[in-house]
Formats: sequence, structure tokens, C-alpha cells
Amino acid sequence: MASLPKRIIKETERLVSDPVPGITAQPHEDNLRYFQVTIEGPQQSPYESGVFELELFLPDDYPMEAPKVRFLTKIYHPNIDRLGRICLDVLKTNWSPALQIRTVLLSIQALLASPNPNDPLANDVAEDWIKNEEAAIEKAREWTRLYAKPK
Amino acid sequence: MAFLNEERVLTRRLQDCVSSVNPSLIDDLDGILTWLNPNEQESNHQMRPPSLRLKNGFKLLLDNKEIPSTFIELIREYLFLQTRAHFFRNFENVRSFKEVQKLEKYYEFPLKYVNLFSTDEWDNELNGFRAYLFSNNAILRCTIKQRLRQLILDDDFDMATKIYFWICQALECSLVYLILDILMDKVCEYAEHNMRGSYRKRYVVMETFNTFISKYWSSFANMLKCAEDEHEITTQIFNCFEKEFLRIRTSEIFEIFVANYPDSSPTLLELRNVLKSPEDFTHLISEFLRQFEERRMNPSITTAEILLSYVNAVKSILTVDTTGRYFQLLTNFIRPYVMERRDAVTTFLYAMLELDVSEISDPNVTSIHMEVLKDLARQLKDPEFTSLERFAAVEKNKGSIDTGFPVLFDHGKALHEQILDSFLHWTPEPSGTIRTKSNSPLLNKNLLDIILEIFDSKDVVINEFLAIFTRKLLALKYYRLDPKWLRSLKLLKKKFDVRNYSNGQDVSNINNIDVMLKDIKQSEELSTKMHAIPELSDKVYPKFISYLFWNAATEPFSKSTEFRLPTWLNNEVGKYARVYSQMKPGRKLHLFKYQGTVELCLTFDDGRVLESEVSFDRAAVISVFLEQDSQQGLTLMQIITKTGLIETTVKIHLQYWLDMAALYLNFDEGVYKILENYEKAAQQEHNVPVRQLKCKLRNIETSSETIDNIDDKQHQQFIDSMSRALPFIQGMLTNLGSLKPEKIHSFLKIAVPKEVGYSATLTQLETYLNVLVDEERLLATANGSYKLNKNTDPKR
Amino acid sequence: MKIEAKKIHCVFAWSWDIPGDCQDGTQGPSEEDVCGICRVSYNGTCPNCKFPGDDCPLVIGDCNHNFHVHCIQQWLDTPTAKGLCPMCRQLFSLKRGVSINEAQVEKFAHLLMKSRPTALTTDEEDIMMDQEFLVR
Repeated sequence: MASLPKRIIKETERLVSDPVPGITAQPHEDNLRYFQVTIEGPQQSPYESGVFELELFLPDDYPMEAPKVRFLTKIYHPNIDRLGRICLDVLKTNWSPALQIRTVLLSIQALLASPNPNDPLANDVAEDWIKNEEAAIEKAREWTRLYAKPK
Repeated sequence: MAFLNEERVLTRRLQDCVSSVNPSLIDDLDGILTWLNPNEQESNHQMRPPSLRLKNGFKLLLDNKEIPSTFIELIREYLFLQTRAHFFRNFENVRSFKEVQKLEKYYEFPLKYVNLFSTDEWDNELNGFRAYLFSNNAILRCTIKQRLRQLILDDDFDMATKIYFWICQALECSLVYLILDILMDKVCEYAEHNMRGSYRKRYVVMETFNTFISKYWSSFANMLKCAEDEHEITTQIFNCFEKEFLRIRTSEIFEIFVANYPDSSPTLLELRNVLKSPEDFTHLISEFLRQFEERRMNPSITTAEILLSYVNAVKSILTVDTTGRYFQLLTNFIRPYVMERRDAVTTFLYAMLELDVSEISDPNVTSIHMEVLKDLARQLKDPEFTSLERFAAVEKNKGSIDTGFPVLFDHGKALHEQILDSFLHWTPEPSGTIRTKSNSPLLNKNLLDIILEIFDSKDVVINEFLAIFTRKLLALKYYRLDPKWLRSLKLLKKKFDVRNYSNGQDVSNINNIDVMLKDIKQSEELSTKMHAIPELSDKVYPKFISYLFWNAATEPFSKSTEFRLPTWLNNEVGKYARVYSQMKPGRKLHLFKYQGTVELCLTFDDGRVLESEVSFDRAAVISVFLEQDSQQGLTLMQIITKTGLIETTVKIHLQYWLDMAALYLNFDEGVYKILENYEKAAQQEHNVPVRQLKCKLRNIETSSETIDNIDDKQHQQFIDSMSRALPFIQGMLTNLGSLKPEKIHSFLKIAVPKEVGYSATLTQLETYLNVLVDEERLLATANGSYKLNKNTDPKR
Repeated sequence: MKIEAKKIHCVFAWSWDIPGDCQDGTQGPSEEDVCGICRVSYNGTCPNCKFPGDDCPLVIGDCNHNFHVHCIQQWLDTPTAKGLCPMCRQLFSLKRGVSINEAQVEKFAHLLMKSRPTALTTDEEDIMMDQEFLVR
């Protein structure tokens, strides 16, 4: 394996030395491009009581290509599908090499705080959300209790 | 009481016997009994031969047919009784074999004159005494054994055999254990005498054994009453020699491993064969560590010496123990100590790079013993290949090594490359005894790897190397690097190959070297192009560096150390910076003011020419005197302001220019001036010789670094020691007029007799000459020469 | 006294001359400014280069964002880039009249022609994430 680009080393060092509140990211021992991530559910969101596990992978072309991120913990969210895939513009069309692992994770945290059922990935969830937001939020809360690690 | 009674009875019976035949013979009987009786004062005590009267008495009594035959029996009984009485009264006082012999003679003496016993009879009696003596007189027993031992150790085998056989006689058996015991002592002593210190010989055990056998074995075999081809005992002797060899070598192991390495290679190879059990190894190594600690791990030993010792020890241990299990102990043992020394890595690298004294300009390394360093370099570069090869060949012939040794030198290659290659590929010699296809990673390591283990991490070494290398490159003139640096570089790069690094570690440091080298190469190309441009001075040799890759280029950037370049210098380098930006669009240059040097040539009104290579800030100090407003001299503060340098720096540089006689200090005005005319200035300044001025100046500016900081006592000692050379200096100057200090120095070295002694350095001589100038014995002239001051009384 | 310099040995550090960046020459080159893409200093190299300088030049964008030329080229080559500056998402073009950019203008003209027309593509395909990644 080619040696790790300096940028990744720097980012990793900073993630460890100066972590984002509510977010942890640990590089895997064997593969420094693979991170185990946890995100705490944001306050005043249906996810606030839980800690969500994610995986993050930096493709060979990173930072020309966005990191690949996926929820490992089951979550009820209009922009996250059953497989944990996330619908977030900065992870796809709006990626820029100026962005970092840190900013990407912050965006995901923000996505939890403000679900966007109008740009859905999980269509059934989005429909529920539009039809009956209160019930959907309650379901999201319940899933958090069921599947996420308590804070 | 019983004895007295018995004696009386016996005496009476003897008297009865005689008186019954001839009462006039009683007196003769008394005389004979007295003479025979060892207890009597008048007896044969002094071993006096019998008198005529006694001899007559013998005839009358012993050969007298009239006297009953019981008489002889009674006499014999009497003699037994008296002798035994004497023996038991005295045996405790017998202290030596000599006294034993004396006693035996004493008892035997009368029997030479009177025929009372057959030899056997009396011998039996004596043997009884001997056995009793040997078993009941403990002191005697000891002394005799000791005597026997000593005689054997002293090679007096005749006497020893005599004593030994006496003991055997006494005990009616042979004391093999005693002789074997002494034999082993003899072996030890012989081993001690013949093995200790003989490191340059191999097969010492065999050789010593052989000479021992040919010298002593027949005597021992004689005493032991065994055949000379008795293998059991000779094998024991050989084993004992091996044991002793180990013991002796262990006790002198530091000498072998370190102090006498590589001369001690033969004994190392012998040790390898003799060392068999892990216990022997462990004992040897732990004893070595003890000695190493005692001899090397103390502050009086230089780092270079420690490293040299370490390298030698590693090589020695690897020779002795080819499995490599044991050198790790050494490394672990001394690593903490070596790492305490700040200059350890640097010293190691200096040796690796074979730097000269002139190339060593490291603030961390205060003193380096060049000889030791060179030795270390030699040991590092030339693993004991040749000698090992030699011995390996011997072994191969003997069939004890079946693994081929690599062909040493390929004549097609340059020698240094071969040495480097062999250095890189050197692996410990395969052992004849402990054969492992080895999973031990050691065998894949070369010597450098092993040596490097002494340092905590390779990074330490890399960084230190980079620092030295960067300093070297920065100070490099004309872009050409000594080939030995390139060699070392190649070697280190190979060692510290990027691939050796685990994932995630920063490998850029070692890659920086390539960038630095490319910078230098491109600088050369650019400067060649630039020298062709008319507006640029071809006196400038610029280096354009990619500063991010020159980590060690710690240029002070802070404003406080920033200074103004002299205008002429600023113009020259400024032009270069402009042309550079034209040739390399989009780039600009920043001058590292503290990295440059300039070769200056100063010309004074009196025709003196002064050439000197100085740093930019030092050039800045002298250059301020060129400015228009400097004609009347400059104060220290003015110079500080004009240069922008800090006071301490300015003072150091001023001192330099004063010492070079480019400037002088006018006391009245408190200003520094250019020393345009040496003689004139000397006169103007109240006829005080200029050099004295300098001395005064030193006293004022105590903060600057001058040689005058030595205290008075030392100074006086110095003057005293130098004054022995004064007559020679005076004589020389009388004959030759004026001389430069260099001439005086070389003359003194030849002229001063050994008894008087002249060991000063040139600088010391100059100091002394200036003292003489101060004392007005000599005059300093404008061109740096000295001559006699004719105005003063030379006898003063 | 006359002073003549026979030889001058001097060491210069070169750095990219970025206009507007107020370096007046009295201050040393600064290490602070890094390429927005690889986060290595302007005066260092992109991740794929070993030697700084000629081998790995810097370019200045019209938007005053600077990158190692290899970094920005590689970015503009990706479909996601859509010809935009990674920092400000304006269309990226080289600043005119800056000496750093001179040697790069031609190369970039070509590159920008290629990337701009395709900039507005549908998102449909991109939305489904890389299958390979999901399998992992």
C-alpha cells in the first residue's frame, strides 16, 4: 500500500488531538483510511438520547473524491436508508477537496438535527414524515431507544 | 610409671645377666645402655660414634659366648622400649619432613655400630612410627602435604617423589587422590602462567596441554605408578586446561572483547570452541558487563571511546556467539547510558562519515578525541572481515566449517564500494557448532543495524544526520560535495529506506536529502548561467534552497537578530535576487543572512593587505567604517545602530577586527577608527604600542570573548613556562632583525633543547610575544613581525 | 581602507511570489499558507511530487485561491468539480497578469474547456452510492 498522503495524516492527528464535540473518529489499526465513527444525536432532535455508529472510508482519490460514510446503527431518518446510506449533497455532487472528514461529520450531525423529507433517500420514511410529522418523530425517537447506544 | 618400672626391671635383668658372668662388666653395660638409649643425655644424642671403650664393651658383652643368649633379647627389648619412649615423648614436636628424617636417622644411628636387628625388623619398627606420626600428628601431616605440593609446583620432582614414597611407605598404600589433587593445582598454575594475556594465539589450550604433558607427565605417571598412556588422567588434565582457559579468559574478558580487539581475534575463535554450555556464556557475558561498567561507563570516558568499545564488544560477542543471543544483553545494558550522552549520535555519525576535525563544528560536541574517532571509523567501516576470513579458511581446511564464507573482494569494484558492500551485507560468521538455519532475525542483520540498536530509534540517528548534513551543505562552497558524504548518504538511505517504515510514519525527513541535493545541483546550474550575465558579479556563489526541506536551517527570523547588510553586499545579492525572479517567474528569494560568508580583502593606506573570510554580520561591522560619516570614528552605540546588530555580537566582531589590526580604539574620543597607518597610529596614541592598546581594550570589554579571561595565577604560570624560551627568542631576533610569529614558532620548535622544553602553540606564543611587547622588551611592527626593542636594557 | 569582496557565498530561500501577500522581503517566508486541497505548504509539493519548484508549481486563481497546479488539475479533472474552485465554488480560472501563472495558462485553457460544458449533469446516477463501498 502506498504511503498515506500527508493530508490524511494531518487530518487524523487533528481529529484525535482536537475532537469535534459529540463526534469521535478512530482510524482502524490495519487500514488508516478506514475510520470508526460515533455521532451523538443532536439536542432537541428525536435522536438526542442516542449515540450512532458510522463507518467512514477515504477512497484512494481522496480528497478529490468524497469520503464514503454509512450509518451502522439503524436509524429512522428521511435522508438515511435501510442500509445506512446517507443523502447529503457534500458527500456527492457538492463535494469539494476543501472539505474535510471533520466538516463532513459535522454536516451529518446537522442532518440529524434537521431532516429534509423533501430530498429523501428513504422514500417511505419521507412519506411518513410529510404525512404525520409528529408520529414520524415519535418513531424516530423509538428507533433511537431501540437501536442506538444510550448516551 | 609403668615405663619407669619396666625400665628398671629390664635394666636389672640386664645387669643380672652380666654380673652373673663377670661383675666387672657392669660398668661397660651401663656405658652401652646409656649410649644406646635415645633418651639419655649422654647417649648417641649428638650422633657421636661410640668411643673405643664402648666398642670394646660391645665386643666384651655382645660377642661374649658366656653371656646367656637372653641378654641380646633383653638389649633389643631395652632399645625398643627406650626408642618408643623417646618417640612418644617427642612425636608431637616433629614439624617437618626434615625433622622426621632426622629422627629416623637418630634412631637408626646406633644400629650401624651394633648388630642387633635385621633391616626388616627395624624398618617395621620405624614404619610403625611413621604411620603413627602421619595419622596422629596433624600438623606434620599438613606440612608434609604442603611441602609435597610446593615441591611439585616448584618442579622439584626428585624430592617430591621421595616424600611421596615416604608417605606411601608409612601408610602402606598409595595416595593417588593427593597427587591428582596436586596435579590439578599444577595444571591451574601452569595454565595461569602460560595462557593469561596470550590473545594473539589460537589453540592455546592444546598447545599448553601438550607442553605440560611433555614436561611433567612422566614424573606424575611415576608417582601415580601408572602407564604414561593412561588416557583417563590425561583427558582429565585436558579438561582442566579447558576449564582454566575459560576461567582466565573470563577474568580478562574486557581486555579481549574491547581493549585488544581485533588483535584478540584468535582467542575469540578459540573461546567459541571452548564455550559449550549456556551457563558458561552467561557467566562470561555477565562478567564482561561488570568489567565494561567498571572500565567504560564513567564520565571520564569520552563518548567516542564508549562507542568504539561497544562496536568492538559487539563484534567480539558475535564472533564468540554466532547465534546472536547474547549481544542483545550488552545493547540493553549500555543503551540507557549511551543515550544519556547528548553527543552519542553525533559522535557515531562523525565516525560513520569519517569527518575531520575541521568539519566538526557542532555545539553539542565539545571535545572529540580524533584518534579514538578514527579508530571507531575504522571499526565501523571495516568489520573484521580480513581476519575472520583468515581464520575461517583455517577452519575450513580442518573441516570444522562447512558453510562457505563469502568471497571477500571482487577486483572489479572500487575498494571503498566493496568495503561498503561488505559492511552492508556483513552477517555474523556461521558457527561450526551451533548450526541453525536460524529463525533468529539477527543473521539477516548487518553490523550497522546492530550498532544502530544502541540508539533508541533510527529517527534519532536520521535527524542528527540530517542536521550535520544540512550544516555541511549550507556551508558548502562551489556546490561540490566530498564523495565520502555521498557514500555515507547512499549507505544511510539504504539503511533507512522508506519501506522500512511502518505505515503512517513520516518519511519525509529522509526524502529531504534528495531535495537538498537537487537544490544544490540546480543552484550550480543557475549560478553558471547567472555568472554569464554581465550585470551580475561572478564572485557570488549563491545557493537557492527549498527552505521547507532544509529543516535544520534554523535561521533566526526574529527582528532582534535582523541586521542591515552592507550596501555593497546588499547590491550584489539584490541583483541576484532580481535576476532569479526573471529566470524563475513567480518566485522570489529571501536571503539567509546568517548563512553566508564573504572572502574579504582589506587594503589600508600603509599598504597592508588583510584577507579574511567572515560571516555577513562580521563584514557588516567593518563595512560601516566605509560610510561617509564614519571618518571621525564610530562609537559602539553608533555601530550598533548602523548595523542593527545586538551589542554582544557587535563587540565580538569589533574584537575580531581589532585583533586583525583593521581597527583601533581611540581612548580619548571613545571611538573605533580604521587603523590606516599602523606605525603612525602607534605614535599618535601617546607612543603606546598598538598591541598594548588592544590589551587595555580587552580589559574594558570584558563581556567579549577574549583569551584574557584566564585568571592571574594561570597567566603567571604560563608566562613562567614561556620565559624559558625567551633567551632563544632574543638570540634569534638579535641575529635576524624582525620575524613573524610563525617563523619564531617553528624556529623555537627546532632550537629549544628537549631538557628546556617548548610545547606552546602558535597562539600561546603570540600571547607571550605581546606580553613582551607590553614589557617593552620587544616591538611589534606594522606587518605583524616582532623585533627587539633597542631602547631598553636587554638585561632587565 | 578599501574593502573588496573576492567571493561571496550566500544562501537564498526561494518561495512562490504571491502578489498581495504582503511579504516585503524583510520577513522570512511563511509556512502558514497551505494548498486548499492537499494542505501542504505552497512552497512544498503536492502529494505526488518529490521536488518542489519547477516540478510542482503553484497557480493563483482568479478568486485568489491558490493551489499546487497538480492538485487543482486533478480536481478539475473529476466530474464532481464542474470547473469550480474547491474553496469558493466559483468557476475556477487562472488570474491574469501574474507571473506565477504564465507557464500554466495554456494547459488550463484546455482543461477548463473540457470540464465546463459537462458541469451541469443529473444527480440521479450519483445518488446511489458506490456499491463496492456498501459491500465492504
